[in-house]
Amino acid sequence: MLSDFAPILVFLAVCVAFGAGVQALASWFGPRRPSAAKDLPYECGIVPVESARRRFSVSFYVTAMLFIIFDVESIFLLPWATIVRQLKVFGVVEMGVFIAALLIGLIYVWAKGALRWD
Amino acid sequence: MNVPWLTVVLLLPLAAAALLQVIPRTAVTLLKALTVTATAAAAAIVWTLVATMGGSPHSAGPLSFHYSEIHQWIPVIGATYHVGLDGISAWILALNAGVFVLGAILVSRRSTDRLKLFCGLLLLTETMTAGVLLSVDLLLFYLFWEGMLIPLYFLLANYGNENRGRATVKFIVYTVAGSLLMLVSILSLFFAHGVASGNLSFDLTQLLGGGLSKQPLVIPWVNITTFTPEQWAFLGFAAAFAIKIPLVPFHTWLPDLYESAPVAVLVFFAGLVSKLGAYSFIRFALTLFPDAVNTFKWVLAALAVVSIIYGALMALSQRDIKRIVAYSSLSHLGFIALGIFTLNVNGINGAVIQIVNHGIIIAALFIIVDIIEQRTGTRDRHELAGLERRMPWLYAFFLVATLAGLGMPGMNSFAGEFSIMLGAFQLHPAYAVLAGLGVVLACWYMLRLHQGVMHDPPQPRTEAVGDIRPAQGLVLLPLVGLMVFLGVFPGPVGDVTQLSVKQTTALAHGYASTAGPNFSGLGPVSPGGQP
Amino acid sequence: MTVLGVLPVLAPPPGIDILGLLPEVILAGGFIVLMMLDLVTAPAQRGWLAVVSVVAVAGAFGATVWCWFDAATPRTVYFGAFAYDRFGLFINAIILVSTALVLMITPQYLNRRGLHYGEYYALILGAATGMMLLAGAGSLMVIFLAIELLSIALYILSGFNRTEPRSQEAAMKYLLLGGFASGFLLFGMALIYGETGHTQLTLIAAAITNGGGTVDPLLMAGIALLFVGLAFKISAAPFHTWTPDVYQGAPTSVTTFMSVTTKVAAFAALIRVFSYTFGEPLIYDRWKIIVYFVAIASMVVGNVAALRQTSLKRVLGYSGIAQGGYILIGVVVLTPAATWGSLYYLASYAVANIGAFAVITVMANRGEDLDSYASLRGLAFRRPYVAAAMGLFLLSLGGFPPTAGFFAKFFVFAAAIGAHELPLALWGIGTSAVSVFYYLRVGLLMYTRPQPDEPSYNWSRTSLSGGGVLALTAAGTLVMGIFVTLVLNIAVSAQNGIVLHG
Repeated sequence: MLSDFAPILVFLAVCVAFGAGVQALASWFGPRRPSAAKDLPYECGIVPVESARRRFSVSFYVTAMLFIIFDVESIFLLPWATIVRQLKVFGVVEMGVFIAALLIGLIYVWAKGALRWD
Repeated sequence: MNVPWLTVVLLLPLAAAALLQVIPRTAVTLLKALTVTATAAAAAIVWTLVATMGGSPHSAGPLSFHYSEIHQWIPVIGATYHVGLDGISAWILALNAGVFVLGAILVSRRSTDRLKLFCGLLLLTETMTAGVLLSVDLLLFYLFWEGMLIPLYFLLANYGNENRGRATVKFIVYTVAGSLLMLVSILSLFFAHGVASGNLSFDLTQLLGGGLSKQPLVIPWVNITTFTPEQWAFLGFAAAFAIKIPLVPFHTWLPDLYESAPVAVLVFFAGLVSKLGAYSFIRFALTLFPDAVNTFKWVLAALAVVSIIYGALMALSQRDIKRIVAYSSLSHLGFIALGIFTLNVNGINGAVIQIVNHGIIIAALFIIVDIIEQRTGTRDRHELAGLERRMPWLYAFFLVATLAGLGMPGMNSFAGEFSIMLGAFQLHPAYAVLAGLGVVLACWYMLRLHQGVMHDPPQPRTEAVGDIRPAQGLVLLPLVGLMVFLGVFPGPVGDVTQLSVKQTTALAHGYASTAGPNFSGLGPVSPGGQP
Repeated sequence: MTVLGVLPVLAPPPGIDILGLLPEVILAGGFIVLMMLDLVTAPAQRGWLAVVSVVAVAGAFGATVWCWFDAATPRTVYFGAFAYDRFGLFINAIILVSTALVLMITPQYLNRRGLHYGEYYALILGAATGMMLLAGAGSLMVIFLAIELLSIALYILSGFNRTEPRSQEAAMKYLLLGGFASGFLLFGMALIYGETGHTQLTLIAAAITNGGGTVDPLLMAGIALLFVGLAFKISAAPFHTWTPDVYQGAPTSVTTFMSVTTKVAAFAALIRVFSYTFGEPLIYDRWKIIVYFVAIASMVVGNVAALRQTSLKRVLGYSGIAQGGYILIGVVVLTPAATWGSLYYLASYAVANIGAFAVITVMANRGEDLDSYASLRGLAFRRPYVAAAMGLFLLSLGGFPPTAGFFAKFFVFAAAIGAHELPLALWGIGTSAVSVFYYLRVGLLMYTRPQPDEPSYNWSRTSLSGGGVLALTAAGTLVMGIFVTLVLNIAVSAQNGIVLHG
C-alpha cells in the first residue's frame, strides 16, 4: 500500500524543486540594486508613523472569531443543498435543527454583548 | 440450629462499630460499655465454639474445617466466601477474642483522646483479624489480611508517642510490599490451578493440589536458571508472612512501632496481629507449597534462629524497658517460626501452642510496663529500682509473667518451647542448640529486668509510688492465671490442635493424612515428622 | 445528477437511529437550554442552573439505563459512525454519575471563589457530551470530533478563574499541548485512513485482517501517532507533563471533573480502538511494545514524582498518571478479563478520585483550596467524617481492601498474570508499594494534631450537597470493594457487548 503514495511523494518533490529552483534562478540571474527606499515597509512611499507593534482592540479578535465560526458552519449548507431533494423532509428538519442551534449561538453571543463595539 | 456462627463472629464487632457512630461522643460510659460488651460477646461466642468444636461435624478432605460456610462471592473468578475453623485457627481465634476484650477493657480504664474513634477502630481490627483466621478462600484471606492494615494504620497513626508517624508508615509500607508479593503468588497459583483443573477457584481446599510448574524458571536472553515457579510463589507468601512475624532481616519496623504504640493497642497488636504471620505460614504456605517449603526450610529455620538470638541480644542491650519487651517479643516470635519450619508435628504443635502462650505473656508484660511507666514516669531501666516494696502486687504479677516469659517449667510457655525444641532437634540438633542459647539469654535479660526494676533500694523516681489498683489487678489476674493454668495443664490446647497439626504436617510433606487423633502435644516423637 | 452520485453515503433514514444517541442528545439539549437559561437568570439565582444541569444529567442517565436493556444486541448506528453497545453505555454511566457528583459540589465552590457564571454548567455538559460521544465513537472522525468537543470545553473551564495567573497558565498549557495532541491524533488518523481506506473502526479492522500477512510501516506510524494523541488525554507518561500544572491551576471543581471523566472517556476510546480494532496479532505484537513501555513509564513516573510533591492537587495529578499506567495494563493485555478489569478499574478510579478531589473542593475556603500539606494538618480533629472519607479514598487509590481500588488493581494484575505478562504485573505491584508512601503521608497529616502556635487552615463548613457527594463516593468505594459483583457483572456484560462488526 505504501507504493500508492508514490505519486504524492513525486508531487511533493516536484513542488519543492520548483519552488527552490525559481528562487535560485532569481537570485542568480536577477539584477541587484539595493537602496534605502527599498527597505521601507511600504514600497509605495507612505512613511510609517509609529511602531507596528501596538495593541489592537480585542473586539477585532472577537469579531473575527465569531465571523469564522458562523462562516464555516454555514458552509455546511452547501453540500446539504446539493442533496436536499434526496433527503426530503428529513433533511429539511435536520437542517432546521442545525440552523436553530446556530441561531441560539447567535442569540447567546448577542445577549452577552460580544457584538457591541465599545 | 443453623446459625452461621462464624459470620456472626465476623459481623458482631463490625455492627458494634457501626452502632458506635450513632452514640454522641460525650456519652463516654456508653461508648466504653458498648465496646467491652461487644468484644466480650464475641469472645463468649468464640470460646463456646472452640469448646464445642470437637463434637461438631467437620468437612472432609485433607484439612478438617468445622462450622464451614461457603457462599458465592465473585463467581466470575470463582472467589467464594468460605470460612471455617480448625484446630489451629480455633486456639488463635480464642486468643484473638481474648486480647480484644483486654484491649477494650484497657481503653475503658483510662481517658482516651477521641474515644469513639479508638473503639471503632479496635472493633474493626477485631473483625479483620478474625477474618484472617477464619478465611479458607485465599482471596477472602487476602482481603482481610490487607484490610487489617486500615484500622491498624489509623490506630497506630493516631495514638501513641510522637514518633508514631514514621514507625507506622514504615510498618505499613513493609507489610504492603510483602502482601503485594503474596498477591502475585496467589494469582499465579490461581491461574496454574485454573489451567490444570479447568475450574477457577481461590479456595484453599481446592488449590492444595498445587498446579504450579516445578520446572526451574529460566530468565530469557541471559539464560540464568532460577527457582521454579512454585518456589517463587512460595517466596512471595514467605515474604509477606516473614515481614508480619517478623523474621530478622524484615524486623526493623517492630521495635520502633512497639515503642511508640499505646498499651491498649499493643495488647492486641503484639498479642495477636504479629502472630497472624506465623498462623498464615502454617495455614497457607506449608500446605500449598510442600516441595518449596522443604527446599527452603533450612534457610527459614536459620532466619528463625537468628531472630531468636538477635532479639535476645538486642533485649540485653536496651535500657528502655518497653524496648526490652519488644525485642524479647522478636526473640519469642523467632521461636514460633522455628517451630513452624521444623515441619514436624512437634515443632508445629509447639508453634501453635506458643502463639497462644506468647500472646498472653506479651500482653501481660506490656500492661505491666505501662503501669510502671505511668507510676514512675520513666521507662529507663537504670532509673527504676526497688518497686518490690512499693508495689508488692505488681511484683507478684511481674514475677509470674517473667518466669513464663523465660520458659520456666510449670509455666505455659514451657510446653510450647519444649515442643518446639523437640521439633528443632528432629530437624537438626544444631538448631536446637542455638535456640537453647536463646532461652539462656532470655533468662538473663528477663531476670535482670525483673530484678533491676523490683529489687534494690528505691530510686528517686520510685520512692513514692503506690501499688496497682484492684481494677488493674483484675485485668492482670486472668492473664497470670492462664499462664499458670496452661503451664500445669497444657492438655486442652494440644487436644484441640492435634488433628489439624497432623493434617498440616502431612500436607507439608506432600501427602494428605486423616490419621486418627492419638497424639498429645507432649507425647512421643511422631515418625511422620522426620525430614 | 452526477454530483449526487458521488455522495450516496448521505442517503437518509435506514442507517440513522436517534435512539442510539439518545443520552448524548439529551445532554446536548441540556447544554443548549442551559446557555439560554443563563441569559435570563439573575446572578444570585445561578444555583438553579446547577439543578437544571443535574436534571439533564439524570435524564441522560435514565436514557443510558434504558438503552442498556435495549442494546442487548449491540449494533452500530449512523452508518457505523457510532457504536450502540453496552461498552459505551457503561462508560456513559460512569461519566454521567461523575458529572452529577461534580455538579453537586460546584455551586458552593464557585460562589466562594466569586466565579459563579452560568457558562460553567453549559460547558460541563458540553464536555460530558463530547466524552460520551468518544466512548461510543465507531469512526475515527467521531473520535476526533468528540475529543475536540470535550477539549475545547475543558480549555475554557480550566481557565475559568480568569483573574488567577495559575488558572490562566493551566488553560494556556492545556490548550497548547492539547492542540499538539490533536495534531498527532489527526495525523495518525490520516495515515490509518490512507492505508486502509476507511475511517470506520469495524471496516479498518476488516481491512487489516484482509491485508494479508504484511504490515505497512505507515499504518504502524499512524497507529503510533493515534496512540500518542490519546495518551495525551489519559495523561500517560511521557505525555503527562501538562497534568500536574493543569490540575493544580484549574478551579478544583473542574479538576475533579476532568481528572476523572476525560480519562474514562479516552480510555474507552483507547480500548475500543486498540484492543478491539487493532487486536490483529500481526499489528498487536508491534503496538504492544509501545503501550507496554508507556504503561510502565506511567506507573513509575507517576508514583515516584508524587513522592516529592507538597501540593495535594499535584499529588493526585501524579497519582492519576500512575493510575492511568495501571489501566493501560488492561489495554496491553488482550484478554476479555483485561477489558472488564479495566472497566472495573475506571469505575473505581472515578469514585475514589472524585471523592478525593471533592474533599479538596468542599473544604476550600474563600482564599485558597485545601491544597498544601500544611492545610491538611489536623483535619481529622475538626472534621472527623471528612477526614475519614478522605482516608478511605486514599486507601482505595492505594489499592487497599476492602475498597474498590483493591479489586480494580486485583483484576488488572490478575489479567496480566493470566496472560503470562508477569513482568507487567510485577511493575504494577512494585510501584503500588511505592504509592502507599504518599497516600499514607497525606492520611497521616490529617490525623496529626496541629501545634497550638501553628496557624490552622480555615476549613469551610460542609454543605448538604457536599456532604452528600462525600457520603455517596465513600459508600461507593466500600460497596465496590465488598459486594464486587454488583458492578463487576455490569462490567463483564459491557465487555461482552462491545460492538465488533458493523
